[in-house]
Amino acid sequence: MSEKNSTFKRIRNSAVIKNPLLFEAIGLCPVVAITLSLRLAVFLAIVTAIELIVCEVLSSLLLKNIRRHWRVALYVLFGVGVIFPIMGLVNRFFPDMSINFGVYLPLMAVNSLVALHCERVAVKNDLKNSLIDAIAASMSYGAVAIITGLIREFLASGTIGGIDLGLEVTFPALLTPFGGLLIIGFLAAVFKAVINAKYPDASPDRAFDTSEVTRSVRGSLKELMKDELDPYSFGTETAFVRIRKEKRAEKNIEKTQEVNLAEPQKEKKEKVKKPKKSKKVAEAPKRELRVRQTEERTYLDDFSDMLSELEEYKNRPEEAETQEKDGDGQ
Amino acid sequence: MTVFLRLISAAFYVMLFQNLIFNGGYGISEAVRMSAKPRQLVPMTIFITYFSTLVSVICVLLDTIPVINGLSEIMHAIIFIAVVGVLYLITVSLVLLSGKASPRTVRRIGVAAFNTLVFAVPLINYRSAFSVAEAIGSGVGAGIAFVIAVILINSGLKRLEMNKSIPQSFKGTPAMFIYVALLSLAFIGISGNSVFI
Repeated sequence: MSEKNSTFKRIRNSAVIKNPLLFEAIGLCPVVAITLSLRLAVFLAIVTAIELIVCEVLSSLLLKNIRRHWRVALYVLFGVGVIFPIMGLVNRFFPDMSINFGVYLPLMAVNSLVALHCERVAVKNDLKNSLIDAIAASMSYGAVAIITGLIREFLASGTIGGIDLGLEVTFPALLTPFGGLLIIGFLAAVFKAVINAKYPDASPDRAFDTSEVTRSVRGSLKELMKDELDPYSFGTETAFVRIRKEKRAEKNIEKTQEVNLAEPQKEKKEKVKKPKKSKKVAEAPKRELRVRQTEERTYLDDFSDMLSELEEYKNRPEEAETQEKDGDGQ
Repeated sequence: MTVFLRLISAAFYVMLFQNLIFNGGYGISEAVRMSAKPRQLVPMTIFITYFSTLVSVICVLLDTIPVINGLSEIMHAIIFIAVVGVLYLITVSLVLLSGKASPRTVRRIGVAAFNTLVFAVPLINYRSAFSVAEAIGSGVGAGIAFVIAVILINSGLKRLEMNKSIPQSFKGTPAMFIYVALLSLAFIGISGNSVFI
């Protein structure tokens, strides 16, 4: 009983809640372009079902131990093995249909529906589960394609299955991809309303993740430079900016070293006279922090900071002298 | 100069006047899914333009060989897909050998190589009898057409996500499909085709 339930749930998820066409937006190209009539839509559904079942079965049997990047090429090879014999048969026995298909029939060899289901299900499950998924996904995909073809043929040509209904007004725009997408959009809304009513817990929106939609397109360039194609490990900076910052940081370090070298001499002098120097020693880390901050700031900020540091540096001996004088006075 | 003009005109043809994604539906699944993840746009565009341009040029050059030129359309399609496959294997091998690629980059190469947009470019070149210059133009134009499509869909998706007055049943993919359909209608208008006879 529980096995039956799990099988039913798997079919329900693959076919309805995660409908590849309506809620995952996979395999849109053939449906949008080919389903101009009921006949073409039925043919598309049959070809897709054969391709998906064969590819998933072969992937489940043969490709489990092959690495992912090589498997992707093999899915296409399986697709070619299924689609091109069909293409030959169509050219020979249905030449009119071959004209309607145009370049779209060979394109089905690289159908994203096949690659996704093989990768997501077939290579991770046994043959039985892969077969169930292939049948469920291809049936749901085919059903949507057939409904789309039916509506398009009726509204755009005024026929159903080639039988003229004698409609006086037709909408030939629906024969373009615009019509296919529009009908799929309304079908998705109807399916979603039914799912929400029948399975309130199931959320079809999860199939199409839009959590990153508001992210910046420009951010992708930074992302690319950061961790994708960064052959010299420059991080988010360009080479020019990095070199300029390095030079600036070197200069700052040299100055701090000079200051640090000067300070111990003063400390020695002051140690003899006065045991107050611990405060000055404690100032050293503060100076380092200031240098780090300047790295992140603009050039003008750096320049003004450097000027103020120079003034402090010039004033420091006078202060020390005055302190010494005060010390003597005391 | 004529060669350059041919290149440019082919690029504009596949970008605007017959936008491969909106007018032909090629690679529309990838464009729609990519528009939901705009941060991946730049690497994906680079890979798609790389594959579409190289495949386009290699296939046109192969077609100048008399033995290949005389073959049927099915055999041409098989050769074109073999070119895509070989180019993919070479690219993945080079990327893996470089040792710098993350698994995500390798995955992107697979998605960029095996999609209907990249495979459609040499088929359209073959049917339109494009020259080498026009093949380069159509290859680069296909990549730019992908960027245009993703940016347009993404900007619409952002607004749809923020819009609270959309009915619950239309939220998500239904509203997005209708929005993409309207974009497609706009591009059909640019192409000059009559949609309401």
